[in-house]
Amino acid sequence: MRQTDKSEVIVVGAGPSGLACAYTLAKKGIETIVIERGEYPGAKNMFGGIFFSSIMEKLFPSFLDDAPWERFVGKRKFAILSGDSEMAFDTKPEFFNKPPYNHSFIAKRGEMDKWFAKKVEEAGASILTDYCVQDFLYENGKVVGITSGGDDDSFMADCVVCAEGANSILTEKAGLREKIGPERRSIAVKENIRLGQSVIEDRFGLTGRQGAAYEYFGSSVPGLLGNGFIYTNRDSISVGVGFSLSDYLEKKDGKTPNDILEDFKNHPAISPLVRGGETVEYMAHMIPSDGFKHLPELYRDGLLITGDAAGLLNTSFFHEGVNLAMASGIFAAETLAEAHEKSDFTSETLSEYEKKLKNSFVIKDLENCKNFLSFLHDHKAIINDYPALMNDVVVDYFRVSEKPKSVVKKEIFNRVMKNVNITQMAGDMWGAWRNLV
Amino acid sequence: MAKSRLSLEDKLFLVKTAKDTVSHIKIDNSICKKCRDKLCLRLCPAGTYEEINGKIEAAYENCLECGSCRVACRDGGIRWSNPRGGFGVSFSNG
Ligand SMILES: Cc1cc2nc3c(=O)[nH]c(=O)nc-3n(C[C@H](O)[C@H](O)[C@H](O)COP(=O)(O)OP(=O)(O)OC[C@H]3O[C@@H](n4cnc5c(N)ncnc54)[C@H](O)[C@@H]3O)c2cc1C
Repeated sequence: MRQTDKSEVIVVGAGPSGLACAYTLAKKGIETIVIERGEYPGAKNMFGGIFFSSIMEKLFPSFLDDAPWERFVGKRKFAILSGDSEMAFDTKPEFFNKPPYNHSFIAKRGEMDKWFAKKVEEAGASILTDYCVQDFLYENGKVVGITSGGDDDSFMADCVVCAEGANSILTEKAGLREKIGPERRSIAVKENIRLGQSVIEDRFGLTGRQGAAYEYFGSSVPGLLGNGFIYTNRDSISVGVGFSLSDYLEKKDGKTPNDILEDFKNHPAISPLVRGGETVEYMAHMIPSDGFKHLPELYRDGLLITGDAAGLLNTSFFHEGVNLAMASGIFAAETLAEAHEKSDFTSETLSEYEKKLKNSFVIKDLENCKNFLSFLHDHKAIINDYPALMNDVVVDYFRVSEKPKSVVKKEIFNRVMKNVNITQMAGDMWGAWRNLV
Repeated sequence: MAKSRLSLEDKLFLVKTAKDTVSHIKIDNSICKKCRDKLCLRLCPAGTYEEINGKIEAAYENCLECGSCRVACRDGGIRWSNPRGGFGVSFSNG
């Protein structure tokens, strides 16, 4: 039989955003229930990924010893692939390699979200899994609860926090944004490939819990805005590609996302790293690319939107998502604590949430990279032509032959002049400096 | 060097899924009939969509629940909702 339960706050989604919100509320003694559609927290989730942990460590000072991270990021590589070649910038500074490890930990969401959820329960919130919210319940235009639309119980609350992630169905249903189109999302596919601990350490040059985060631009995702990646877990690696959905739909070369991933794995720079591995799992997920200019409305009477659902993801090179998601969850909780005090959950009181976000790194960072994606979209030469040309130049420069170097230099110069419009390139580079860095 | 490529079927076989008896993907073929691009056919990372006798069909049990088809389908031929609680994929290495 259907019943109706009541809680002070309902949080939809047990990702980093919803969990950070619920933890903060529970610590303030506010009765909170987190509702998650997965079999367990993390079951529906996938990221690269690096868990940027500075906020998590503030909540749990024992994070380093306690949390189920795979390896700390001791080594990062940013590479440009073109044709069969690779050009890379590799860095392993000392501060990456000693505590607090630059707050960057390679992790699996299946483990991390589960661990976080346990902490949230210990703090006093309840977590209900296997429950998919289909809609909010309203009274005089104010959100007052949630329903699964089926035989499950529905739940009432003073306020609902929607932390549903990138596939923001409920946010759209509530009218906080129009239906998202392909310009607003990237798609990513990833494999978990088991290699064994010692193979990983030998192959990537790692010791102990040190890990490697490799990101590949250029032809890793040919002609598309996006990148390929490899992250080392303890005894497996995460290998994937992510790219703009609208770019992909425009390209029409018949390749499926899985084809693009397989091409990436078979690139001569990548295949020696994945060789001999056993693929254990294949996953897909979306990434928001809303950016500063396309944020949805963030609140309504009785409703707050946080994390990926609100598009709060740094769409530039930094790929920061989880920490922005957690920060927004915490700001939502702080706003709700004030609302709880006043027993007032109208949008006027909840508007404090947007102010908190705007005064923090969350919105400031989004603003800082507000032109990143559109700039790259309009200047495709930066991802397609220049990397390939730069690669050719390097190859020609180092090619061993009996040709006098002065002739080689001249040939390279002519080649560059033939292939690019120097004024345009200078303009592109200036634009890149202003919009990308 | 011989290229080793894993087929999509092999990969989907690795995904842990609790299969529902009803589909969470509804197709309105009266809309799809007029769609020229039929992007869903190549976009889905699980190859869920197929055109059979001029009709789009969804092998919903293969769906990885990324939601890209919902976002990409502008005309609304695909009505995608999250699977009911207790059903669909369970990732462990995400
Ligand atoms: C390929 C890829 C690589 C990434 N790499 C990184 C990285 O390296 N570092 C980084 O910081 N970020 C990375 N991100 C981004 C990061 O994963 C997200 O920003 C972050 O997970 C957002 O957290 P969230 O809590 O808002 O949403 P999510 O983590 O998506 O959580 C949403 C939760 O809500 C649940 N849910 C959804 N709808 C319902 C419903 N109707 N009813 C009940 N439950 C529901 C979902 O099951 C899920 O558990 C990456 C993302 C992808 C896809």
